[in-house]
Amino acid sequence: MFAQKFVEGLVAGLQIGSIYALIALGYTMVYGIVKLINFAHGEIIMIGAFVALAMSNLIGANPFTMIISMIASSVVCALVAILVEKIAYKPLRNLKRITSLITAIAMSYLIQNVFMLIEENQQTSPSFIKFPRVNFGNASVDLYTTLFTVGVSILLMVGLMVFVKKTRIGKSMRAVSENMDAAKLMGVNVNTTISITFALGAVLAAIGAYFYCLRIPFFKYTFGSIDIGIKPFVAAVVGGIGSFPGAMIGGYVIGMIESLIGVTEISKWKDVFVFGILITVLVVKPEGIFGKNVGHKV
Amino acid sequence: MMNENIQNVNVSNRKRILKKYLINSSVVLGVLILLSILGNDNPSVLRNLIILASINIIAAVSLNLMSGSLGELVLGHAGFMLTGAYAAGIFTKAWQVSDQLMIRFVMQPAGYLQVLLAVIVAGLVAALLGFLISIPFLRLKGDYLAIVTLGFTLIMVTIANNMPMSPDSGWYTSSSQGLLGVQNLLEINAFMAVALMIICVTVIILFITSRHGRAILAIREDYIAAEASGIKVSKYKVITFVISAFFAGVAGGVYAFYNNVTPTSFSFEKSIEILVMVVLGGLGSYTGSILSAFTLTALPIMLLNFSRYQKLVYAVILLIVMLVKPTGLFGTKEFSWKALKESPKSFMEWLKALPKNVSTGFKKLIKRIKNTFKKRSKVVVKGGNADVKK
Repeated sequence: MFAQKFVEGLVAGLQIGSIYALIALGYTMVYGIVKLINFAHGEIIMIGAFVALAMSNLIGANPFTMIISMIASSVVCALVAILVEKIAYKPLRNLKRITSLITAIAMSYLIQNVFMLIEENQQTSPSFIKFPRVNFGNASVDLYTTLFTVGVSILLMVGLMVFVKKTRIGKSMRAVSENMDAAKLMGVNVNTTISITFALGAVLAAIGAYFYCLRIPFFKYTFGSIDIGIKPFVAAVVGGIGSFPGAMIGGYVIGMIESLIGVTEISKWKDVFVFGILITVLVVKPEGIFGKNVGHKV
Repeated sequence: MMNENIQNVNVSNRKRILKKYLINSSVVLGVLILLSILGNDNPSVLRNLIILASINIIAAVSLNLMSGSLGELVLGHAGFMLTGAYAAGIFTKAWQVSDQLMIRFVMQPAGYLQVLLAVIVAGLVAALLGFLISIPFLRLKGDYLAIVTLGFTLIMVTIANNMPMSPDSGWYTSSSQGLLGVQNLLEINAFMAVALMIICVTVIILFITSRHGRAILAIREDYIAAEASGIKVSKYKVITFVISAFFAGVAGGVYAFYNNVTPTSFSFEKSIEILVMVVLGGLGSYTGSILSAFTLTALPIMLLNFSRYQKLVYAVILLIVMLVKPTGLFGTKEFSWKALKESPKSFMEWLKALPKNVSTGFKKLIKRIKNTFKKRSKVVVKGGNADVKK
């Protein structure tokens, strides 16, 4: 009995952990470059899910159309993210941090409520791929979906790492996150770099939304804020915000803990555990597991 | 001669201050009487508006203490309000059940006193919780503090959702249905709500205009300089947080006597709602918070069919206020008649300058659009560092 539940929790944890890791990377990239928690990131994921639904209605749902609609949803999400950045964050870049934090919350709220007016009811997730379930003794787990999710996510993460380390744009991203003014003086186009960062985060979020749709049968316009918006953020903070490996490991840790608690009797309290971990990490080591401790200049 | 002059000044000063106090307190008394008469009919829109506005004003002013005066963004007010509402509700229900207890005979004029007592208990419980979490939380700043307090609200909602279900378990709550029927035991009226609101606002304003209040403002402006001048920064941060939590608890406690409290009635969205009120009025302006809390409560009640768009409008207000006037309507200043008298003049000046400002802005925009479509030469050198913005 225990072993069965443990296996189920483990597999589900790997699956949700990769989704969290993908989304946490978006948070971490944006935070690294503009030092701002992008509260609207969760809403970008929600838009990704809605685009997936619209595309599945439009061109049907099978593994081939999945690739087409993934590209479409990535483009839409990237455009929305760039728009959000231009409207809400760019004009306030030189003001107090609290102002852009408030606009970030406002933007998230705005997108969520626009979608509430468009479609208020619960939607059935589009099922682009259906894998058979696998039995391990008594435990029935969604092994192939998990393997698919984990494989693609790790591929994307490695691709992102290579992109940031090797390409010219990646180099300018690192330069801007290190010192925006100095990067500007060296001829880096800061605005374009920031837009690309937001777009990259949004693409990862859109793909994360597809994997989330494979896992969850229904979704609603609110799922971007609580279900899938805040927990990846917790993962990013736990791993150390601004650090890429931190976001990945944080995502897997939070996903694992959440689903392992989810199969026990105290499953109702799993949110308390997740936020408890966040609070503990922030209090004990505020820069996160992999974060760098930057001193405060007087 | 000199001495006499100073004395004269002192006397006239004192008279002026006395006059100010008299005017202020008579206005407040007038508001109290007017609102309690207006909200006298029990099932009426006006009564609901007055009570809800009082609750929101208490919450907004207490958040302003934290976000406006101390300058730290806190998203945990809904959590404190939830705590306060549950504390007040459980306290009242426990009192009602323990019919035989002495305390009931000691405090016969039940109504007002019982509500007052329950509300104070609500505030104290929230303040205790605030004190416990403030010690770890206030080590964090800025966005981290916002996230941690948001997490606190979500934890409180989860706990409230998982409260024992059965009525005989001694908790008097029923999980996701929350506290049922507190307002059937004891219902608050407009007079009580407004009186409590006036007391809370007065206490907070007295606190912020005191020596301690100035210390808090100094921390907001520059905490390193404040620390160097001998202000104990962490102590004052904890004090502000606890006071803010206390009044948020009071607001929640009043709500328990007005309507059914469910865990979802004080979720993340309630925190945002209160934040909108504070930001619209101006972070740091107490009269601004009061006016905007009243307006934003009245809007959805007065306009029918508005509730569907309420949150959208809140989001748009937040965005526009932040982009156009990041200080909010009043900035850190308070409402004053003098400024109101002078405002037509400054408004006319603003109106006169408007065509010029619009035309220059338009020209700039056209120039920018032209520049984007212009073919760029590979190297652009424009007089050294001149176009490098700092």
